[in-house]
Amino acid sequence: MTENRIPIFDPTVEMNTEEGKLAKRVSDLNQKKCGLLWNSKIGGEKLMHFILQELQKKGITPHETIELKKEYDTRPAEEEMYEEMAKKCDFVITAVGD
Amino acid sequence: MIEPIEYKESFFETVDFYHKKGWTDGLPIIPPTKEMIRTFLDSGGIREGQIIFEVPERKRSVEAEKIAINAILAGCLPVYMPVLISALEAMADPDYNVHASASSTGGAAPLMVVNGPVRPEISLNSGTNFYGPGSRANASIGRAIRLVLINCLGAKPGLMDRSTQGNPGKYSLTFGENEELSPWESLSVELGFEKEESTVTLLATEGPHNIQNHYGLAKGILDTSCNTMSSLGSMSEGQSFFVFSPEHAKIISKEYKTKQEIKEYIYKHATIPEKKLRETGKIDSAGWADQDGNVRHALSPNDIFIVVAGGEAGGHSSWVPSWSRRRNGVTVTKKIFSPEIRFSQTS
Repeated sequence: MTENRIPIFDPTVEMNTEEGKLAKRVSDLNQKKCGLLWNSKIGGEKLMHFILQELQKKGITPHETIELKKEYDTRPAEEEMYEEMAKKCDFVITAVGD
Repeated sequence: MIEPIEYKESFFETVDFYHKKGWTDGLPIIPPTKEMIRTFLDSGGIREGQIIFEVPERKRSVEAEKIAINAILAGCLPVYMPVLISALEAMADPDYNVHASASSTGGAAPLMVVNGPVRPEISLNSGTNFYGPGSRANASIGRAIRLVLINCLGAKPGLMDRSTQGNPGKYSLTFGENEELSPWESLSVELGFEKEESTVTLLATEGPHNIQNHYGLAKGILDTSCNTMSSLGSMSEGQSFFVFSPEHAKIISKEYKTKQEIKEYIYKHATIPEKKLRETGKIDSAGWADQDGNVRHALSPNDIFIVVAGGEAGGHSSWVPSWSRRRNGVTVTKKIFSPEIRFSQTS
């Protein structure tokens, strides 16, 4: 009997968890071309360079670093920026900081 | 048709269940029924299973029935659905940037300005106390937006909503322009819509900043407006709304016949020295100033939007700035459609 009872309806929406296709992983980061994608906020730059320093402490020294800055911190990077990174970099470090 | 996930014995048990699940904004809800969901879908001109709101950054697609459920929970009437659907369309526009504005420490609220004949049809307040309590449409349409953000986009406070302080407009910041008492063309007409068309305009914003001036003439009120706009606290370039009270609008319009003249006056005079911004740590580098060393909130006069709202008496207007810097979030306007037109668009 449900006549006199109050129904509950789920108002939520689940995230689509279908996995995207990952790029091929680089087995060894040492002496590779490293991209640094900055979200354009001061905390982001600090975090990004901190991660690079931590890698260097572990003996991972990039052959070259290429720094790119997003035009807007809260929006995705421009398509051309992704293409440039894909063309020039073996791996990319990005950081979201306020 | 969507089915209930379970049943409860009493009204209070039901309301408590929604609270405990984190499905509310803290206020009690109206429990939906299957019949109500059907009515709300019909009133919006939308069909079960139809995707209404899609945000790729959040990997979420929101179907019509979820919009209806959240609208009912928020206390909406079925007749509000066309406004709500168009507001969500505006929010889904990449220009609005819902992903960032709903999660940013800045604590943005969706400012929603409604124009056109739909305002009296749904008794949307554009007069006395329009920001405050007293109108079901103003309170519940904005609340429905908030519940959709919480429940369908995962914008739960402390999780994907990281507002440092938030702002009270996050409960609802919805009103109609008081077109009847405006001496200028309405926002929607200014944006190219017909007077007979209804629209909703959204911008992710801070809360309203008071512009109080009881004795000034046009220049005095505009200078007070400029001073409000160029305060240090909110100085962060981008779009913003001036919401002039009918009294202020009447006085200003004696000397400024068009909105464009006002925008240009404000753009010229609402400035702050770049030096001041650097001294106070608001910016950490030079290069923002004009040739006179000044910085402006607006990037151009067209970054300034002007609407009229409020009761007939009182020297109180307000300035509502964008939550974001520059173009991280911009104003989006969408037309509001009747259910019949909505249905015909998907048949």
